[in-house]
Amino acid sequence: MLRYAIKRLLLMIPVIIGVSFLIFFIMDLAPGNIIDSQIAEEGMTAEQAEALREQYNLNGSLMSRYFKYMAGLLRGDLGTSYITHKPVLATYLEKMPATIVLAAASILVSVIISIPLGIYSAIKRGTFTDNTCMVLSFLGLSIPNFWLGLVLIIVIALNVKWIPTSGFKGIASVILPAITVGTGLTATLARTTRSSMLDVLNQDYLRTERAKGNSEFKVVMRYALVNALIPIITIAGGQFAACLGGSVLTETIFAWPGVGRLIIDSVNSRDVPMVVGCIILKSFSIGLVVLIVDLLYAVIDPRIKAMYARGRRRSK
Amino acid sequence: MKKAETSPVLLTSKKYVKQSQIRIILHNLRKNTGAMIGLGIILSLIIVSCLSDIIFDYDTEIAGINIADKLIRPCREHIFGTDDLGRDIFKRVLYGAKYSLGVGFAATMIGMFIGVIFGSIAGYYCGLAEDIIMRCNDVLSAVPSILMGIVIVSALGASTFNLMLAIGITSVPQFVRITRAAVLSVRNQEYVEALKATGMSEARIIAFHIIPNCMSPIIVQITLRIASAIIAASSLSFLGLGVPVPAPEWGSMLNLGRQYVRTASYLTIFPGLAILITVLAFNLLGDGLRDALDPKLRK
Repeated sequence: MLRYAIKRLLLMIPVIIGVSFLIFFIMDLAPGNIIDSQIAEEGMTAEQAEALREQYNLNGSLMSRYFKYMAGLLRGDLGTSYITHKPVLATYLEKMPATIVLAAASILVSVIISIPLGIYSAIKRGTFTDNTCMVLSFLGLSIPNFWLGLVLIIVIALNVKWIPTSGFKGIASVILPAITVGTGLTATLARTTRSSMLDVLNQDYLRTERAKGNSEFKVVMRYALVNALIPIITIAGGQFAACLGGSVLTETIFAWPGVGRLIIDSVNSRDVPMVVGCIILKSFSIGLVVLIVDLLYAVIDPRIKAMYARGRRRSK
Repeated sequence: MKKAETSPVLLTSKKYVKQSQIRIILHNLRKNTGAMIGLGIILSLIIVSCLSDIIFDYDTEIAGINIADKLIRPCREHIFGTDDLGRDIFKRVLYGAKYSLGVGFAATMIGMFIGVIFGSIAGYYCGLAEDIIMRCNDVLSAVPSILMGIVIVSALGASTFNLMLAIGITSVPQFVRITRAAVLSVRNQEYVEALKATGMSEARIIAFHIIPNCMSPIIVQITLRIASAIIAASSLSFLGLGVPVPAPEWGSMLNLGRQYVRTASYLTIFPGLAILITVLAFNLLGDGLRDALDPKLRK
């Protein structure tokens, strides 16, 4: 399993190289850059301007700048911001806690609501409750989440005074952003849970468990759910990974000091090293979480664990 | 006596065989209430978008400034109210359908066109071509699509065309993956071999015989992608990176409404509802199409 994890990590390297080149290239298409406007604003002498350009390596061609950047990346240096002149990695890590809190809260909202709902829908398949749940999940899927955020501000925050509508100040401030992000996730996860449970519920071994006199609750929760978990965890893991990258719109609406807003701010101010660095870190963290989820399968499902073990024997 | 009993059955089964694929699919789709509601909404939105330039005068009714009427609450005259420049929200929401649908369709078509070409090449010619295409695809899909859209539009400049291009590019990976999977499943069938034996060129086989046989997952994907393209377009416009003002794009109307969230919430409610209903319609239709096109679900 370790071998598999290492292989997957190594496979991420070409993707990261590709992503960095792609973003580098696209950002280069934009006319002008921030250093030029800084030079114009501060009325620097020709030597000072030249020194600044040299410092940020702006004189070379796209390829030479890219290779210098990649050489830095190999040493773990993601460059410094054009604007704040702080290291990109440090700025990113500074914004990470707020994003992690929001991501965890959103997933919590999603899992708490969607899994019971999905299971219930699957058991009561075709009934009015099931149809209502599925219609609601369609609605949740189609809601643009930035609009939902605004509606929540209108409906809840203006009537319930103790819930703040912007910034990250204590537990109460997480509620609205978490619901905003969580709604879309809930809809997807509830549908996945339902269809995955439906696949399992008709299988023979459950009839055997019922015949053994187990209660229906135990049959569903202990025997059916465990076998339906793999797709549910895949989706939930993917969602958590996506949230960890920061949700740009929700963070903008609620003035959340997270990674998503850092990225949109740096895009708006043409802070190239910041944008490239953030997107590399974001893609990397998404890949890492997806890998961890894949490894989790082995913990849940002995069949997959056995597969890993067999793979190792064969390669030895 | 027995003959008389069996003949009706024979007749109906013969009739069944004669039905074309499209008729069976339409028949299945018609049974799905949700899909029909979705289709109805989409058709009426298309009609509204086609007629909007005839019904409304863009310069006076849609973009014209009329400070005397600013921020009127929803009333009989302005059923959705007016915005900070005195423009009628109801008219702007109706007119805005054109932008959302247009960008949604165009972006999805761009994505589909590129995606289907590369996806079918990857699926048909295994080996090096497939490896290169799929690795590029991994790179493209490693960046979250909203971010990719933001980066592309901000580099190229905010305009309707760049918005379509950006969203189109972000939807390429999905199409590549789906087309490749579909092509892989048909490329070894006998009819492809027979076509090869007749000496037909491979490009022709792919374009006229393989892709038409892979259409059903692609059609479903198109419908669902339009829904997410509409959300993406309005998200980018919301961030000021989409259709330039004063065009009544729903996302940029929401961006305006955001400043008045505490005082004039109707500025936010209606454009958002319009997005919600449109996206819901495409999702319902896409889901219905998936069921209708899936041969496993057919009896």
